[in-house]
This record gives sequence, structure tokens and C-alpha cells, in this order.
Amino acid sequence: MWTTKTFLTKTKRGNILKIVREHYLRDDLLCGSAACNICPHKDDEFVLASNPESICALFEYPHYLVLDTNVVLHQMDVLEEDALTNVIILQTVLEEVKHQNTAIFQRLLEIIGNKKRKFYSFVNEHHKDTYIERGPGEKPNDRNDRAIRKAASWYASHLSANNVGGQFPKIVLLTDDEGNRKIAQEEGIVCCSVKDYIENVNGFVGLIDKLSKNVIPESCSKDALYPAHLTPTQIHSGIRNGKLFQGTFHASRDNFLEGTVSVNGYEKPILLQGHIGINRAVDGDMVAVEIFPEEEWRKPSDIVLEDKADDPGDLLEEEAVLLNTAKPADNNKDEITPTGKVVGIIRRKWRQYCGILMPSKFPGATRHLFTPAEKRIPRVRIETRQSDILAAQRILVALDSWPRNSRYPLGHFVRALGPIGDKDAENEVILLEHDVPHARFSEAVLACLPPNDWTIPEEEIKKRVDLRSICICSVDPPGCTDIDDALHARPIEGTTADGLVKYEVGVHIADVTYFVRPNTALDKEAAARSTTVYLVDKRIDMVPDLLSSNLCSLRGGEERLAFSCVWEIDENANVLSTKFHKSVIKSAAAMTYEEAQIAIDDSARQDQIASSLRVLNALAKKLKRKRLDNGALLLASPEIRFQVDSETHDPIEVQAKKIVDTNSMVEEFMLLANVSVAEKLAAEYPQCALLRRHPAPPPANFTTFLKAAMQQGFEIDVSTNKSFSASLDKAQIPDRPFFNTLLRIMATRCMQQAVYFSSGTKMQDEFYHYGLACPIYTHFTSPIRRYADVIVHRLLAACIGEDVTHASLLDTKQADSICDNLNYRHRQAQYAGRASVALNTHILFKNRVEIEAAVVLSVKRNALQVLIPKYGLEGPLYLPSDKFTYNEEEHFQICNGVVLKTFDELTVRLSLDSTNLQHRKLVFQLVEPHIPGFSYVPEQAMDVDAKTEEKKEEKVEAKKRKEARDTKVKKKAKK
Amino acid sequence: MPGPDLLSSQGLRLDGRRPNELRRIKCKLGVFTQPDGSAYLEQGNTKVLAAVYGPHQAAKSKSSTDGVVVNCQYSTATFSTGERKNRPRGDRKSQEMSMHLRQALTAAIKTELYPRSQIDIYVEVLQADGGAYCAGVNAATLALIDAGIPLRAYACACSASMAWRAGQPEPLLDVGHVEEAAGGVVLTVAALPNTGSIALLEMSHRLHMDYFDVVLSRAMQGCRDIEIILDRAVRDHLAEGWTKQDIVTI
Amino acid sequence: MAEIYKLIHPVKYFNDYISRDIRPDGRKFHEQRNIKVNVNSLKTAEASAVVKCGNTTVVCGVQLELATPKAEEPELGFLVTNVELTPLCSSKYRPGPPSDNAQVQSYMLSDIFSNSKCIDLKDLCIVPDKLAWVVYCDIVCLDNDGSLVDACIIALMASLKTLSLPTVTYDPETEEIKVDPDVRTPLKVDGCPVATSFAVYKLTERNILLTDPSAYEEEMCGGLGAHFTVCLNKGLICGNHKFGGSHLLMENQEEVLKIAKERANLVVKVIDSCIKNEKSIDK
Repeated sequence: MWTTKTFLTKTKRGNILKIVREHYLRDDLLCGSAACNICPHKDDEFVLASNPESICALFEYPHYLVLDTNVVLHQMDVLEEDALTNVIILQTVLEEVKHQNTAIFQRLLEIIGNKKRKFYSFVNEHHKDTYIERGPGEKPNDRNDRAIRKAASWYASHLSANNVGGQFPKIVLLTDDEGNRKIAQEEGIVCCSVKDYIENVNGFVGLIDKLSKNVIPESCSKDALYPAHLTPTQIHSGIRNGKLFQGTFHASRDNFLEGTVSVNGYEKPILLQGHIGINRAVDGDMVAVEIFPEEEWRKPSDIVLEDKADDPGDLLEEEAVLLNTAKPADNNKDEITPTGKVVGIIRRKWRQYCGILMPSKFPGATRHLFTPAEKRIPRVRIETRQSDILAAQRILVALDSWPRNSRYPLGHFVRALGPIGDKDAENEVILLEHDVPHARFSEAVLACLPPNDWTIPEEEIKKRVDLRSICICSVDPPGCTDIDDALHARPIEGTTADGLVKYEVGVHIADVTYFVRPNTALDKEAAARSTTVYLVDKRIDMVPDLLSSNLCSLRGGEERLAFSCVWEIDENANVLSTKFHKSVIKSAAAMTYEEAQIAIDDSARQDQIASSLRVLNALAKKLKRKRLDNGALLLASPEIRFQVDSETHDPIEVQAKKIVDTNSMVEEFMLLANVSVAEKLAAEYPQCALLRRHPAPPPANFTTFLKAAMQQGFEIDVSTNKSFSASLDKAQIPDRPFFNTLLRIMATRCMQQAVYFSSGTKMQDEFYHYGLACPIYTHFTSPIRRYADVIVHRLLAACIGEDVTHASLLDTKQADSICDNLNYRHRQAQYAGRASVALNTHILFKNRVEIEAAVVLSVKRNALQVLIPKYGLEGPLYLPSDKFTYNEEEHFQICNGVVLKTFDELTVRLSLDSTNLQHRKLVFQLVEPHIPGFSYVPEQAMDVDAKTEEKKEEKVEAKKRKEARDTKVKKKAKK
Repeated sequence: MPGPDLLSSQGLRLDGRRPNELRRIKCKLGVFTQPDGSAYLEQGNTKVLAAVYGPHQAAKSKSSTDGVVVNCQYSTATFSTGERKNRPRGDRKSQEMSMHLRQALTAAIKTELYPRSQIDIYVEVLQADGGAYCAGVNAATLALIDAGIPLRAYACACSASMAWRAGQPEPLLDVGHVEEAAGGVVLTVAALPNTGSIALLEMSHRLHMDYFDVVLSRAMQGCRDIEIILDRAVRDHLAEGWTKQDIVTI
Repeated sequence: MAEIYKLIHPVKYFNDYISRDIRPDGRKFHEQRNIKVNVNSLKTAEASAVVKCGNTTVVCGVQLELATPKAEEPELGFLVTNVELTPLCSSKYRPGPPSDNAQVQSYMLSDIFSNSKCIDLKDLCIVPDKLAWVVYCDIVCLDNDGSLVDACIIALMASLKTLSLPTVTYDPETEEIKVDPDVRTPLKVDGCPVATSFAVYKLTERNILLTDPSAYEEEMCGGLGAHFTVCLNKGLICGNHKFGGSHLLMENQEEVLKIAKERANLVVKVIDSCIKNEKSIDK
């Protein structure tokens, strides 16, 4: 019911618009303390303990902590440790944090949500005794500080009242704002800086390492190494009057003293060089740059420069020595790039970085350098007393600040990820660096799951179409445990008007949405993850294992819930009718591609499974033909598979993936299902259907590719996907069977990314899927591992009346934001997958050297990009510029009359360079064609060959032995 | 979750109310001498005046033998919002509001008692901070009572919106301007809570069917709460005795 | 009984009172009604005032906008006054476009106001030829019980006296306008015009002046509103309007000025004390 409250109006004036807001003050807000006997708490509303134990030597009596905003903003890593409990978070603080940093805000909410931490959020802004009004001329910041002090002193008196003689907790205000602390002391509030408090905490080792070294970077003008940054107002006016430019800073991978910023109005990115030119910008930061007059423009240096390994102290090196600052010769004017310097930081984009500690040379020192795994991030200075332990570990570090007088940015240790070189630690690095959410599923998520022994309830079966008697089977890669699709086909009575035989074909997709209900914790987690991420030896599930590998997985011989798409198809693969319904199925067999292939080929087999597979296979071929005739592109990407040792999980062999007929059989029907669903959804929900589109690549993408094909004598027509596809088909060299595949691999790289989108955000003609040559497409067939499919399932269920819709499902804006996240996560998952492949490749080649056939994918100024077809590996083969001459026009490298160009076949030597622990890389060396003085000459060429042959034989044997316990990870062919 | 954060994690709205709380309502009957009945009503920062003239003889063109013709005009003062309004009345929005007012109030008035007559109801919004229509209906009801026109029941209006807290839907009662502007759905209900009937229902934006019931029942709850407040105001007003005006004229 | 008499013989009823040197509401001929002023009661307006003279109630709301000055007067800002006689305030007004009476009242008000020169429009100019304030003063009549202009002017002046203008900085290069609502300067108001209305009733041979007439009296004297309005600002006449009703004699004029002067002093005092009150509550 309505309660009378003191009533105040707050006025906010923006521009000349007068805004009036009501602000109600309440007397029914609780203080949350168990020591309080004034507030009418219910039993479950006590958050703060009645007698909190002090862990700080400075305050040996029981106390609660009140935090200032700056403490929350900068010391999140300290707060996330389990050390501090019984903390009061004021609404004032909460809102300031929310405005300034949403990521920190989320983390804070997380802590507040954790009951064990005893963090209480107190709504001081609406409490009648703690609300204060902003005085005339008072700055908002000062007002908030005052509000925090007011709340702190209110708590102190509130707890002491009615607690005569008894023990009651006191209040300690933690703030790093000296001014605030001074006033607080004058007002009789006990306060303390975070540093002092944490340094006196007993019993939590390592807590002190997490202290953020936040200093105001511009205030350290003493012994300043760097010029000061401009103030935000200066930057703002500079940008406005065109003297400054803003853009995102991209550090160079190769040269730590170089970076670029792309700004409006300049075609080329602006070059920044040297410590002063970069002036403390870190990769990803939004910076303001000043561009030099044209006569001071430089060309990008082509040298590789890494920061020195040891800490030289706070000095900047003589840069002239390090940098190629000599004015470029006039002949290559093209390379002169607009050059400038960073004059201010608009927004930092710092995150936490993985890397390794480089302990100081001085024993007992606490200041150390940290080298991030990402090469573009500078080294960071951190303080820790655990350097001995951490030196051998992969660690995570957060950046805090970069004062003018420090050569390196300052940061603090967040946590250790595990020993360097350890598979788990390295995987963790991959996941963290690609922002893949991979924490264990929370209790709240697990609480949404059905019990382990769940079986399909009778009433659910009644609601669905019962297909348990139909012979349905699934075909997947070996070792696949998350089976989300199964198929069936059977002839049906009657014929078409043209006398063709009719078939009923069904695609049955795991009914994940039965378990993942909208807006549950499980749903939100799945939405946040968006996709299952496949690393070589690890799978990071989108939904918990119980669902992904059991209840949703359409395992052979088990009754499962499914969402079915059933067509009537004639023998020429024309779809006669389509229907969608939820069903119950019982898969007759879960097969691998090879098993299915064998069943089809083995004419002795006449059972139901085999015959339906044959029907499917025959139809699939016709479907594929049609699709290709429409202009669908057959693209290729080198995909490799590792055979992993079942015990150590180390890769023991790598090979290119084998594709059999059945792969494409499953793929064809999945495509057909996806298209059918997409058409249905777009018709039913023109505003919010989740679809997938693939934009046609801009012609400029093809330039290099066309030139390379031309050199081989093929003219490729890229005007439409149909002509492109046709000319790709024609481009065959009879004695080089791999050539066509190679061409397709390269064509793939000219493509743009396919993306998810909401139908309300694009015009109908933009829905086109270029690669598949279909006007509309979506993802429906893998709800276990893709969240997009979950949404599509819900939409489809709603439009066929099998499930209710819910508000967020039908909101275009909402759908759009889901799409953004889906696209981001998918991209990151792909990158993470690639990084994992690279990692495993490195492990595989740790102790071996091979000589293999290779082809040239592209020609660069200083290297050839080569591909080893056998392994699907690729990498750069560096060519020194003193020996080779690069022909820019025709894209080839020449040395002593030997021409190297795209599509050339070479022999290369593969080995692993482990000199840099964080950046191990495969080294490719040229063997054939032989270029004296450059090519690698095997000492006893024949011998090595023989040895490798032997080795291979051994491996074939080993492979056979291991096949039974192979733990290969499923990786579906990219569609 | 969809929609901006209208509810804090502690369950309070932007202005400090709980989801089921009305804004502060202050009202007074008989504020003017010229009209036959008048009332002033504040609902939070929304302030409206209502005046009733009549029943009097109806203009020929409008006259009806079935019952009284209710004529309403809703207007908003130019200074009622932060940004100056150029047309206080006669624009589409005001006309729509006038019509809605008439619909809601006609339902409450015992129209059959005054054939061939007319009642004029004027509502002037002095300050608008969301829910001006609701405040208008509530004020007009009081003005009608002040004018001594027999009513079937109190006509009360209240709005409700939708917010989410921890993933759970939570309807908001008596939507203020900030909440309206946040872009959520606003369901306006004018009802005769005493009889349980709804006189008018209006909704902006889109709302999923699943939530309609909860939002509607919250708005109805608001109407019932408002009825209690109006009823108390009427009783207080009557307890004060006859107004000065009546003493003079008798 | 009195009520019925009033209805049946309205003129005689009124006559009976006047001939006994008293007005129907009990006032003497030159007695004015109580004035109540309340400032800043509307939060959405930059400044506002609610004024009650007897039962006559008006609200004035002031709002600010920025505009470019007129080319012919590049150094002047704008002050726009507008009076609204809503059908709410009297049974005489019908819904629809503003009546003639409303327009006359509105025009008279702005006339009196500009004549009084209490606001220098130059003060409203920020950058000549580029930027100036537009001060919109909207007056809404809520209850019209006579002597409307008097109440309107009081409301207008009370509002303007509380109005303060935000600081505006104008960048001539980029033409960017920055408004700092925290730093404000009060609007300069020179004096305070006060209007006093009279109704002229012709009782046989005598012309009777009724100060601050109510709507009923105005009607009985035959006309739409007061017959004679005098406005003074700091002792200077800045408005003198006579229309309708009986003709006025020269000797009345002197009497009128005397009463108007007294009333002006009183009203200024009322407004000032009200504003002072409001400020002390604010702090």
C-alpha cells in the first residue's frame, strides 16, 4: 500500500529544458545488519553479521566497511578475493560505478549476489535519514562524497543506538580520496586508505599483490618521461576545430615502438613512432592524435623490434638508434605515411592480460616485469612477493595506470593460470585471450537442469508426434557426444502427377528448448556463451554436460525429444510439402560418417537403415547438384585433425580432414532444413526472425586472387556467385589434383563473414546468402552447440503453436543485440579454435623436423605464405630482401633467376622455434627449388627421407592401436 | 533483459517507490467559485484542475432525450512541461484525451437523470509529469461530486507499466514521466472500481500477451487505491461544512 | 430569498445595495479584495506565480527559449505575453479559438507591460544579431471573478521578479551554444507595474466607481470586464484604458489615480514579501 513519505523534488537542468523529477524518501529501508534491533528485518534479510571478525590489524574491533566509489572502481580484484566481508555498498557508489564502468558494475553485482561475502547494498539515496541534497554550487562529486560520509555516520549512530553497553560493530570508511578522508576524519568517521587497510590484513597471502596501483597518471610530473596528455576539454576542442583526430590505437605486432591510428579524413592510418609518439597508448585505446606537417612524415619501419628483456628502470632508450627514422628516399613516395603523435587518451580499453612474469634480477625485490602473451601489449610492472612461485606460471594481470614518470604501465597480479607449457594453462590462456566464457556452470544454472535420471514424461509424449517406430539414425564424426541431428527417409504411397516416386524425409533436431526455458539462469548463461567452443582437446559447452551429451543428444537406441522437419520429396529431390512438429524419436543407430558410408556401399546390407541411407544419399546428391546449379560456391578451408594421446592429451599425429560422401549427405539435409525454417520464420515474423546472411564480397577483395589465377592461365569470373562457381569448376589442372582445392581455399579467403541478423534490421534483398546461393537462410540444426538455433527453435515452436512466445523473443531491438553477441562469440570461438590448433601443432612439432611438399598461397614483400596440404598447416616462409627481389606488379619473388609465385609447389622443412616461450612458432625453410646460399640443404637428404618414411610406418601402426581409444574432438565442416 | 532498468536491484523504482506504490496524491474539492463544481488534484508532480459546469440546457444540435450530454475538454498549459508547448488545446493529443475523458466520465455519470441537458467538464493540466490523463479523470470525478451530479461510482484512472527484476516480470503502478519516457509499455485504465467495471483501456507500445493480465490487475489495484483516497477527500471536504460561497448566497 | 430576488430583479437588487453605499459582497466602493500570491509553485516552468484576487485566480508560467534576434532589432530579445481565458474559468467562455475578449485582454496586458518599460529587452540579448532569449509568459486564468488584468499583471510581475537566466556562452567560430544552468543571473526588473480596475455604475445622476469589481459587478455595470483600468509603475502612468460602461467625469479621474497609487504600493509590498518568504523557505 501507499505509504506517506517525505517528498522532495530534484531539478536537473539540461540545455534550457527543465527536468523535474520526483524523489521519494522512505522509512522502510533496512540497514541489513544483524546487530540492529531497530529496523524491522525479516530473518532472511540480515546480510551483515552481528559480530564481524576483524582481519585488519589497524582496527581490532568488529566493524563493517563502507566503500568509496574509487575503491570499487580501482580495487575490484581485491574485493573479489574472499578476504573482505561485511561490506556496505551504498547506492550512491553503485550508481557511480554503473555510470563509469559497466564491467566493474557487473562484477560488483556478482559479489553482492554471493551470500557468503556479506556485501549489503544500502539504498541511502532513498532513505529519509541519509539522503542529502546537492548544495548550490556544489560539484556532483563532492555531493556524492558527502552522501557517502553521511551514510557512514548514519550507520555508526544507527548501530550504536539501542545497543547500550552491548557490543556493536563500528563503521570504517575505506577511501583513496585524500580530501574525502580528511573531511571524514573531521566529522568523526573512522576512515582509512585501501592500501593501509590491506597491508595490515592478516591471514590472506597474496591479497596485497592484487592492490591496484592506481595513481593519477598526469600528476606525476616529477622526473616525467612522457609528455603530459591533454585534458578532455582540450582534446574535445582540438577535435572540434580539426587540429586533433581521434581513433583507435593499434600497436604493431613486430615493432613495440610503432603503431597506427585510423582516423577520418586520411586514407592511410596515421603512423605513430617511438615512446613519445605513442605516449603511453596501449593497443585498443581510443586516442587523440596530432598529425605532423607533411615534411615530417615517415614510412613504417620494416624492422622487428622487441622490448628489452630486462628492466632498464625508468628511462627511455635513445630512440634514434632503435628507430628507422631516417627520411625515406624519394623513390618510394608511396610508402610515406602521415605521421603523428598521441596527445591524449580519450578512453582506455584495458582488460586483463595473460602472460608470464619476468622476475627482477635482484633477489627479494617486489617489483617485477610482466610480459603479456599478446605481443601488442607493452610489458607491465607489477608488485608481488610471490615472484618465485609465479615465475614458472602463466598469470593474469590487470593494468591500473601509466604515470608519466614510469617507463612501463603499472598493473597488479590477478591470478595464476598454471605452469607454463601445461596444457590446461595454455588452453586457459587461449580462452581468456579470446574472451570465451568458460567458468564452470553456476549453481543457479545447474538448478535449472532436470534430474540425472530424467525420462520423458507420459503427458509430454502425448503432446508430440510419436516417431519412435520410424527408423531414424544419426551420422556424425567419430567421438561425437553432442548429437543434435538425426535423419530418416522412406518411400510413401502414391506418386506425383509426373509419376515420380515420393519419399518422406525427416530431419530431427534435438529439442533443446524443452529444457532451456526462456529467461532462466540456464538460458541466460547459454545466451552469454552463444556457442560451444571446440579446442583440439577440449570442448567448452554452451549448455551443461547433462544436456549436451545426454538428455538432448540423440543417442542411438534411446528415446529423445526432437523438433522435426518433415518433407515430402519426389525422387528428383523436389520438395512437395514441408511440415514442422515436435516429436519423440528413438534413433536406431548413431553412426560415424565412415560407418554410414560403409553401410551404403555394402550391397549385402538390405536392412532398413542401409536402405534409408541410400535414399538419403541419392536425394542429397540431387539436392547438391541443384544448389550448385543455382550458384552455390563449393569452398574449401584446410582443416586438420589431431590424433590425441588418450592419456597425456598431447597430439601425436596431424592430418588433413577426410571428406566422404556421407558428410555432404548430412550437410545437404541440414541446409534444406535451415532454408525451410528460415522461409517459415521470415514469413511469420517479418520483424524479429533470426536469420543468417552472407553478403557478397566487394570486388576489391578479389584483385590479388584473380591475378594469381591469371598467372596459372585461368580467368575467373567473379561477377556473380553462379559465374564464380562455374569458372572455379573449370579451373582444373589435370596433373595437379590439388590445384582446384587450393584455388577454392584462396577463394574462401576473399569472402566476407556470414552473420546473424534480425529480419527487422535489414531489407529483404539483403537477406541473401552468397555462399549458399539462397535468398534466405538461418541456423536450426544445432541447438546444442549454438544459441542462434535455440532462438530459431523458439520462434518456430511459437509459430506452429507448440510453445508460447514471450516478450523478449519478439522484440527487434532485443533480437538485434542477441545477434551482435552471437556474431562476436562465433568469431571469437573460431579464433580460439585456430589458436588451439596452432598450440597443438607446436606441441606436435616440439621434437621433430619434417620435410614436406608445400604450395605457395600468396606472395608478400618479405615472405611467402605456404600451405602444407598434408597437414593443412600454413605459415610464412621468410625471404631475406638482400637475396630476393619482390615484383610488386606481378606478385612474385625472384632470386638468381628462380621465380617464386603463387600456386608454385615447393618442398619445405618444418621445425619449431621455441626460443620465445610465449610465441613459439613453426619455421618453414625452403628446400626445393634449390637456391644456393638460402635453401636448406639436408645433410644426407636421402637419409632423412628414409627416416621419415620409417617414422610414418611406425605411426600408422600406432594409429591403428590407438584408434579404439581415440578421443578425437568433433569438428563439423564449416558451412 | 529487455527494457531499461526501471527497477534497481533492491527493488526500488527510479524515484524511490516500490513497484506497487502510487505517487503521492493530494486533492481538494471546491477550489473555484465560477464553476458548479471544481477540484484540484496532484499526483506526484502532475497537477491538474477540473471544473464542471452544469447540468444546463443543452445546445440544440447536441441535445439528446436519452440522457445528459457530457462535453469534455482536456487542455495542457503551455508551461506544463519542460519544453514549451505551442498549442495548449485542440491538437490531436488533447482531442484524443478529451474523448477518452468523456468516455470514462460518461460511464460514471447517471446520464439518464438529465435528458436534454449538458454537462461541461474542463480539465486543465498545469504541470505534467506522466499520467496526466489519469489525474484528469480523478480530478474530474471530484469536480462532478463537488457539483452534486449523481454518479454510479467513482471513476478512477491509473496507469501501469512493466519492468523486470532478476528476470521476473514486475508491473509498475502509476507510471511517472521518466518511466514513460524510458519506452516501456504504458497501460492506462479508467475504471469504476466499486462495480469492478472498466470504462476505458488504453495501451501504448507493445506488450506480450503473457503479461497483460498482471499489468492490468496492477492497474486495477491502483484504481482501487485511488478510490480510497478520493473517497477520503470527499468525506473530509463534506466534514468541513458548506463552503463560504454557499453561506453568502443563501 | 435574496437569491431569488437577485434572479428576478437583478438590476433592482444591485441598485438597492449601491444606493445604500455598499456592494453586494459587503465591500465598500473603494475597498479591494484580498490578494494572495504564491511564487514558484510550478516546477516545470522557469518561474511561476499563482495569484488570487478575491476569487479571481490566475497562474503565470514563464519559460525560456533561445532564438536569433530580429534583423531590424538585433540587440533586443523577446518577451511574449499571452493570456488564456479557458472555458474552465467562467461559464461565459466556450471551448474553441480564443474569444475576442481574451484577445483584448491579452493585447491590453502586453500593451501595459511594454509601456511600463520595466524589462529592458536589451537584457535579453546574449549576442547581438545571433542569440537572444525568448521569455514566454503564459498566463492562464483559472477562475474569472472580475478585474482580470489586475491579477494577470500581478502574476506576471511576481514571476518575472523570480526569474533568473542561465549563463549562456556562445562560440562565434563554431556557433556552439553552451548553457550553464548552475550559474544564473536574476532578470533585471525596473519597478513593478500594478493595474487597478474600476467599474463605473451609473446610479441615477451619480457615477459610482467600484474598485476591483467582481465578475458580477462588471456584468451589472454592463460590459465584458472592467470599464476602466489604470496602471502605474513607480508613480508613472503606463496604461489607462477606458471602454464601455458609463462615461467618466473629470473629477473621477483624480480619485482613480489616488486609489490606484495606494493600491500599487500595497501590491508591490505583497509581491516582495511573498518572494522573500519563498526564498527563506528555499534556504
